[in-house]
Amino acid sequence: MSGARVIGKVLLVDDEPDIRRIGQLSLARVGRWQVAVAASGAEALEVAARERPDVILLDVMMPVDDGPTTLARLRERPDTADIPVIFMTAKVLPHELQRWRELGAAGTIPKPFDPMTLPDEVRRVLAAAEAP
Amino acid sequence: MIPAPLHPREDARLQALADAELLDTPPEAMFDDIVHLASYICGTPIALISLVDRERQWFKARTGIDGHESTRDVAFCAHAILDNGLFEVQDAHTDPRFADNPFVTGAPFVRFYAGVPLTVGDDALPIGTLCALDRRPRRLTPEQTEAMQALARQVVRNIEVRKAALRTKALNDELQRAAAALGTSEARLQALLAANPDGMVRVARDGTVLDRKLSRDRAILPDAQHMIGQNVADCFPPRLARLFLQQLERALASDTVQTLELQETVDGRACDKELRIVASGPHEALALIRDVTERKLGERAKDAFVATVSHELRTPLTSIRGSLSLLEHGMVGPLPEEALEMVQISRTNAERLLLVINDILDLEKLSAGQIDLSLRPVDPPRVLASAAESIRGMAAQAGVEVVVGECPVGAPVLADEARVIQILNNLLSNAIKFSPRGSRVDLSVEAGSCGRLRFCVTDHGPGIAREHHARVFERFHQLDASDSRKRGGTGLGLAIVKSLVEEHGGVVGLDSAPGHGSKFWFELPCCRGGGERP
Repeated sequence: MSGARVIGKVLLVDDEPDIRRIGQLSLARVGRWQVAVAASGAEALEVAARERPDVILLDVMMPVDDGPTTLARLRERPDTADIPVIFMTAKVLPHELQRWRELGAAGTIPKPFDPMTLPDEVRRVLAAAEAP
Repeated sequence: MIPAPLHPREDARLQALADAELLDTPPEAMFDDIVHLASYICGTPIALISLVDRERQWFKARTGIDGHESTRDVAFCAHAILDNGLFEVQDAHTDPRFADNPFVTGAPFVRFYAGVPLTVGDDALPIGTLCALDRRPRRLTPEQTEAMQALARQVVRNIEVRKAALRTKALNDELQRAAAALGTSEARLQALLAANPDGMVRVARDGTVLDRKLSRDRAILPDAQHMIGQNVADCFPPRLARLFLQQLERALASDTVQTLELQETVDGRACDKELRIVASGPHEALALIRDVTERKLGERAKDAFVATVSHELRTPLTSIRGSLSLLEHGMVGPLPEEALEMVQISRTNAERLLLVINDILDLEKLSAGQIDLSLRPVDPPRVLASAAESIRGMAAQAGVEVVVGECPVGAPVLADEARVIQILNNLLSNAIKFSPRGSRVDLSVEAGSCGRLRFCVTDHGPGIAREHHARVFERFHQLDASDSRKRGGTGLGLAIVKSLVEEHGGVVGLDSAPGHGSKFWFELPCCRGGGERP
């Protein structure tokens, strides 16, 4: 784990307020990270540019700009292009996982998530993505 | 009067008489002609063909008298059948056997009798006589005797010819009836086939298409014209072929109708078909293919409703569970002891509800054919180890030891590894729930039927009575209504196991008896070419 990225701040993007709040508490209290939240793709771009998080947890199914669209926008902007993005979704069939990887996500965390293990999941996904 | 003794082979003689099928039949010209000839030739007023029955004599043909029969004790012919050639009574008045015979002392006042036995069959059994009678004493000339014997032979020959003709006619009648019945049945079958809107395929045991009839609506089977002689594995879509061959094997093995439902896209429109497969011979089966799209639309609306409701339930439940979990673990501050207890109760119940909903969603996907299996060669020892490992926590909590046995068969199965582990997990958690503390659950693999591999999960629990075996795989079937509360679980695990195994083209089963534990098993097909050992 020596090469693993040290996480200080996480951005959680989800259009469901309850999920957002539970995720925020999980990341802050269990993960002991700084947490920023966004309720839509557009807000995510704005918050990401402002807060410069170490990782973005991005809901796939959102109205207006969904996860993949938001990911593409983040990649277009130099100040957010390099931030690793983890998709959060219930769609975790093998061909769906394959698609999220091809879109450039660092990995996928299946929904519904367990708030007590979510931070560990984030660390695991990032470590796997950075492994040679 | 001295009655005649019985013939030495009386029973056989009576049987021969019955076999001749002459008694109590209408007059026939060929026999009437002979008695007239006998009467002319002998110059007697009376001539008869008399058949000597058990208690009577009955006249098949007669001239000169009116009666049809008399009792046997007064019959001259009862004496005559005991003689080999011609039995002649020249004057009944002087013969002690007949002097006081009522036919002698009264009408027709017989004085003279000459009778030749009618002997039939290889044993020459006498069934009656051809006889000539007169009202005055006399005797036959040698020529008349010879003529009577010749005429008697003619009577016997006529009896034989008549019997053969009767038999031929009966056979002919039977044939005509059978032919008519066959024609009717064939016509009915044709009418049934023509009127039936279903498509039809007749296949041999190995899957070769022998015959087919297209349905009136759009055909499910691509290129149906060229199917005959091909194997269904080569001309059906792969999923249909796999399920079809599996049901074909069952139909032939069980002699019952096997049904199969599936959806195919025809001309870009979803089309539901129901196949009913039934053995039509020892080595072939008939499959009727019916369009059930309309019916399925209704069912699917119901399924969609179930899926939506389940999803709508799952989303808020997930939030409830997540919030409770954070509360329980003190992430938002410490809780008083009793509050913590209430939070734990809420969280475990929310989890149980989620399990039910997930199982329902899984089953809905399975019944809608929406589960995509990624079939690859799967190594049995590896999935056994994975399944045992993933259940270890639950087993430890229940004080049950999960023991993975040897894998004597090395062939890999063709399966979706994650799904096989899910199947094993369901069976293992079931076995653990019903195992007494301190007992063991065995996980093993053995050779199955039809070249398949059998995975077994054996427990030492209470066992299941035979009458419940078929029902344990039904949805929400728990033998004891209090089980779901006492032991947890949704009542859907085994239904999911059955659906998943059948989706793989396998079979599930159970060996169990009360007091002897339970052995749940399922069989999966081996990889082609990998199933045989050298």
